[in-house]
Amino acid sequence: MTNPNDIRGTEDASALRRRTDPDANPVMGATVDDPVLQATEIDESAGPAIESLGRGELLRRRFLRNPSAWVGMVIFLALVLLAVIGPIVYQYGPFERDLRNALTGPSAYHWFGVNENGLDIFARTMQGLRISLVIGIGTALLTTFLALVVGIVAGYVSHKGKAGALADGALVNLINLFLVIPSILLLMLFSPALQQASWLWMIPLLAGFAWMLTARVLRAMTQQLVRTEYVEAARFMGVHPIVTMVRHIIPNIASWIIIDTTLGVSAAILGETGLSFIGFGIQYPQVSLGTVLQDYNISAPYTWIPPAAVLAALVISINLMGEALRDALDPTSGSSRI
Amino acid sequence: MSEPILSVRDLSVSFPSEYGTVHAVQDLSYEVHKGEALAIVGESGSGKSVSSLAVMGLLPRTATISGEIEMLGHRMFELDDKQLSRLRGNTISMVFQDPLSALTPVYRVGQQIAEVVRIHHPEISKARAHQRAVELLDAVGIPEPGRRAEQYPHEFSGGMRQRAMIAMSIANEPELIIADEPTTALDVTIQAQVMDLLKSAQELIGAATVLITHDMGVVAGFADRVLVMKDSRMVELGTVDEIFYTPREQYTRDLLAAVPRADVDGATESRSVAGSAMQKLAEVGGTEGERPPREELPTVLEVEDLVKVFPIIKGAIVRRKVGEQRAVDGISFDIREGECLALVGESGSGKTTTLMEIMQLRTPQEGVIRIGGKETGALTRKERAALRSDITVVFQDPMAALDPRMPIADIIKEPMRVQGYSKQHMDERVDWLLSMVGLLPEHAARFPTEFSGGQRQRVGVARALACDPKLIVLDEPTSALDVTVQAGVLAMLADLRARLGVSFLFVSHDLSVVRHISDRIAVMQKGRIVELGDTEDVFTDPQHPYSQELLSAVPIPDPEVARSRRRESIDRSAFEGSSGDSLPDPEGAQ
Repeated sequence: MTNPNDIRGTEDASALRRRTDPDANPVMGATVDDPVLQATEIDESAGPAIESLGRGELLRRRFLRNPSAWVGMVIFLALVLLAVIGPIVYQYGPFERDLRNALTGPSAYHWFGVNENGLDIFARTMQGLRISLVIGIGTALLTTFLALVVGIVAGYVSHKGKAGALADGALVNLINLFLVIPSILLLMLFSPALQQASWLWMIPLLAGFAWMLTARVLRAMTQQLVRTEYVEAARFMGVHPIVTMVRHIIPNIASWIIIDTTLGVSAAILGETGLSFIGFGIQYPQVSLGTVLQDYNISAPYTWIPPAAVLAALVISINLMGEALRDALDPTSGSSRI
Repeated sequence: MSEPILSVRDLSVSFPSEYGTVHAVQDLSYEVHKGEALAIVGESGSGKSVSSLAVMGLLPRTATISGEIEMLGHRMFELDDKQLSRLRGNTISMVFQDPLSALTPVYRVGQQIAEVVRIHHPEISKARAHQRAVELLDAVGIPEPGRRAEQYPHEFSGGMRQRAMIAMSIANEPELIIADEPTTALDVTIQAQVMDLLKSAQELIGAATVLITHDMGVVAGFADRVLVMKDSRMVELGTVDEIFYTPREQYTRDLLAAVPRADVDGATESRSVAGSAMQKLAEVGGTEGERPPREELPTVLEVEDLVKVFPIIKGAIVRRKVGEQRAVDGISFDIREGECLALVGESGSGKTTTLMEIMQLRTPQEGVIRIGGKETGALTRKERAALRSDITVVFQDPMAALDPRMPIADIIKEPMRVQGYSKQHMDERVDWLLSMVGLLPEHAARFPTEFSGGQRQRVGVARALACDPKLIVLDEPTSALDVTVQAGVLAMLADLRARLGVSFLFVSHDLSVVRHISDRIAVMQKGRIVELGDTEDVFTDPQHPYSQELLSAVPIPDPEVARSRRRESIDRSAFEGSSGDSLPDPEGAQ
């Protein structure tokens, strides 16, 4: 799905429908295209004009027709509710020790059991879920923003003469530079230091090493759009470049950006939990799903199955929604069939 | 009459969609007899292509098909894909619209033709099949067929590719050739050659042909019988003379009358609604007599010795110039107030480059462009921004020229916003502009996808008119439209010119379109203007051989004229020897 003009469904269908059902839609279509110049004598009361499905409406229908979209949304919403309500109603906090019950399985008091340090696993999992959700969504949004700025600027200026080509080259080299530096080492180096200030530093840190591929794709899509006649037309009208970018380019690649952001959430969550698991991500006094998993005891499955299952459910539900969105936006995919 | 090769009975095809079932073809019945050429004519969306894909068994699996197609005793719908594959390419073959995408770019042309032969006759050796491919390329008039067979499709020009496609389609001497808009993507002189070739190829192997087209001019010279389709149904079926001289249905008459004719003056030729649009056009165009002589009018645009050279650069690290492409090579013309100059030429002749050079409002590489007396190179940033409202452009493709995410009111307001109009003024102007181009003010809130091609082109014109321009540059504004729609848009343009006194620079590859709208014609070839003169003079007495060639290649929607032309060309080629030699070198076209 790299072609921003991929959606043709609305247009084709409305054109066909106009031809198929002339009685219902007599106003538009045939009448105005009538070779005789008729300015205003079209009868208003003859019937409603074609109400072709808007793009949003079409997308919504295709999205909701996909069962995996429903599964993903239900799981995701359930997890969000759990993360919000869980810690409020549950009687134990993530750092309250109950050493008498250390390393005991699920019970009426400790729903997921207690680990060997006497910490309640349900409480920690819910707290970790909160943190992971915030970091995942925040990172995805910031990544998209960075990619949008670099990608669109690079794509737009690449056609504007020698200076533009130079600027584009510099930005592409910046992308390449970020791609080749060993991000995992830098993340390990910086994250404990920045954690001293706030755990929210994880968001810019993760985003700083995740925007490059999206930026490249956005650059290519922008280059394609800059060559279209409506962008050319805007240039010939003297529209300011930044206005052109905001008004003409971003809306036309918005669908791709939305998909990429959705899938970026799960990637960011996996990155953060992975770092936390090896001890470089979220630090005390915060917990993430990764740090919960870190306290595993292989012989007591209840210490690691609940956080792992929550993590898997979270990532899978986001990916299901992302895939369903992609299918809805892609006219050649199965969801366009009825 | 002999037994039919193909008979289609009560064919209906429908597709499911978001809006319920779409009927693409309904109750279509026709027969094709041996050696006969049937033309299926209709506007876009009339179901002509879907009906022929049904014959080939190439419809997508979501389609619901009913009816019967019988081909030489085979009932097509009872065959499975494997059995169909034996027929395709062997008994039925197809020539597609776009010869660039119909040939595989990674195989040599000769290999692709040999492949068609070998699939259906595996007993033929590779060497023999290759030899056959070379023979076929020779038969379709490709010079040096031996060398050409070793080349890849991108080394062929558009016309050559379509010739290769025809060679492929006649490779196994099929009983039926289906040609789906075979010349739509080609220039007019190449179109004439390819249609001639298709006719000869058909006569050579005695195959029946189904030609699908929207162009009545092409039909006149080719078909024996014509089937007119509209809105998924058959309108009329008859011999070519019946359809052209005594059409029974109103729609057929409209279709014929809407075809702009290069050979007659529009005023004398009006038989219908669409015809009267063309007539109106001629009337509007005919009021020039009252205007003061040309020399006294102020000049809107002046181009002097304009040159644009594209360097051809090779090498990734060490860039060096290996040559240059002189896209525009010293052209000069001027446009006076209220005048329409048509710039005519085939693809690659530098028309679009000229337009872009003018629209840039920068200093050209060489030469001078003056707009309203001001030199574009000497403008300050502010003057240039102000001048943007004086010279506007209407693009070729109405689908691509409007941002699909903006309601048309915003699209039309965009240039006004740049020029700093007040909000109330803009709202008033949008209403006025929409009614000016024949749309309703209520349409302003809709998105471009809700409009048909002709309506979108009207929106494009409204946007170009937004800031009271002095000159509108029209880049092939009607080439993407159906003929009846085209007639309407042309009439609107002529009307606007008469009412608002705006000048046009009208770029087109189609001489018959510009006949009724332009005052003067500039014929371009290879970056130069070879002829510049009043429209009537160029049409009645073209001076340059290239103008003559262009004029004689325009298809005339009149079977008698087309037949006599064809006889002439056969006589001439018999006199001059093999027709293949006179072909232009494709290297030059690339």
